[in-house]
Amino acid sequence: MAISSKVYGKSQYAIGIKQKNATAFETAGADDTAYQLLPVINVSAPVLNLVESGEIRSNNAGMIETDFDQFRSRKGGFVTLDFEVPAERAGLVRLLANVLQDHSESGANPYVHTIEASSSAALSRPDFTGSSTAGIPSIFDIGLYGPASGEDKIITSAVLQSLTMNFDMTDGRLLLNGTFYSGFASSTGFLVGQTLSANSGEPTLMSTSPTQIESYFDTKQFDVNGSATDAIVTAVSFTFENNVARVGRDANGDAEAYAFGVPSVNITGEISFMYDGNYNDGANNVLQDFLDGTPATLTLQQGDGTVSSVGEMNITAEVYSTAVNYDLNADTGAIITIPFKVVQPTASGSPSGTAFKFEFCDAVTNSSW
Amino acid sequence: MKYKHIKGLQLQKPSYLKTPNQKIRELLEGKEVELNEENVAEFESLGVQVEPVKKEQPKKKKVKKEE
Repeated sequence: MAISSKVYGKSQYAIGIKQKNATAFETAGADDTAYQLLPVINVSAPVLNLVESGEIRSNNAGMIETDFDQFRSRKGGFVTLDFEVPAERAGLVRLLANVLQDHSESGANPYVHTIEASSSAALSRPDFTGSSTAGIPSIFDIGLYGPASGEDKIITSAVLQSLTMNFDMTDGRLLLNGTFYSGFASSTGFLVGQTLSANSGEPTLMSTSPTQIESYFDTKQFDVNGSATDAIVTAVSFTFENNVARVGRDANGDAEAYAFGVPSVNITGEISFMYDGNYNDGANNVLQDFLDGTPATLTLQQGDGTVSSVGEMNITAEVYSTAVNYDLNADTGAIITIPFKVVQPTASGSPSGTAFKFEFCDAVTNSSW
Repeated sequence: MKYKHIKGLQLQKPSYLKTPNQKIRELLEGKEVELNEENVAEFESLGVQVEPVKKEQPKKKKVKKEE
């Protein structure tokens, strides 16, 4: 057979996601769904984690495993898909709401979205087969667009297993990376050889005016000795992990539910800022706070703090530093980096205040899309 | 009617707006700019706040009545 001279480039592939009501948890993703573009720069391929084993059996004097020693089953497996994407306004809340399974929304065009873990609005473990309200439980079907007809794939009922928000001041924009998880690996849950037909076989845009989110903050404060103090931030990131895992096995071998936040949902991160007059190793300052193990409130705001215009963002996090690292030789001047985990503050032994709160104003609804 | 910018316009990408760039720049510079209903509606849909400029009424001179 002669060779094929076709060469494919990365821009011929695409990833599309589409929210669906959790009542359709067990319903396979469809090929005529209008999937919305996840605007990744590099498209990754799904990783199939199948149930496999293979070892030499008895009655084999030849010492080489035979083909029938091998076992592989799609039933009971799971699928993951890694991605990295520059955050756009229309997509940010959708991903963050999915990984934390929390979302509320007010207003209509513009919409103000809130994702919160606090004493008054604690994260709630979702029932992934229950009816979705305000988009929660949030599950996605994922369309993986190949370069030609009949080369597409569909991932059913995926949930973000992890998500990292990286405000990199050097890159200048917010980058998101994470991993989708689906407990549907069977031939009816992870579909190959498909032809995705909606929108002429292409994912639609989440917004016709896609706007990337820049890495800057009008307000950037961190507690020093219990007082909110302005910082010159050089980088800040948050990582959300929910330990989602498949539960059960239906007649097809697919998940019957997902376990979420077992034993916990973990929010960690890292912030780097200048070693300066506000932040240093003086008494009652950064190092002393770390040694004392005192949680600090981190406040980051794009806009004036009243989230009402498209693009405005507030992040509030109660952080517990896990180390204090120094880069005293940085080209831009000495830098302090504090890795942290987000904790729920308490008062008199009871949860009190905000662990993590994200507010964002954009022009799209996240309750149904 | 002329308007002044209150908040939110600096976060928008001018190329996506139907309001002319020059008006956007002048609003961001703090100038009073003539906007039509479409411009104002577009800003409202983005949560951009502008306020109409009220013309100051000329103060009436008090006339002392001669007794």
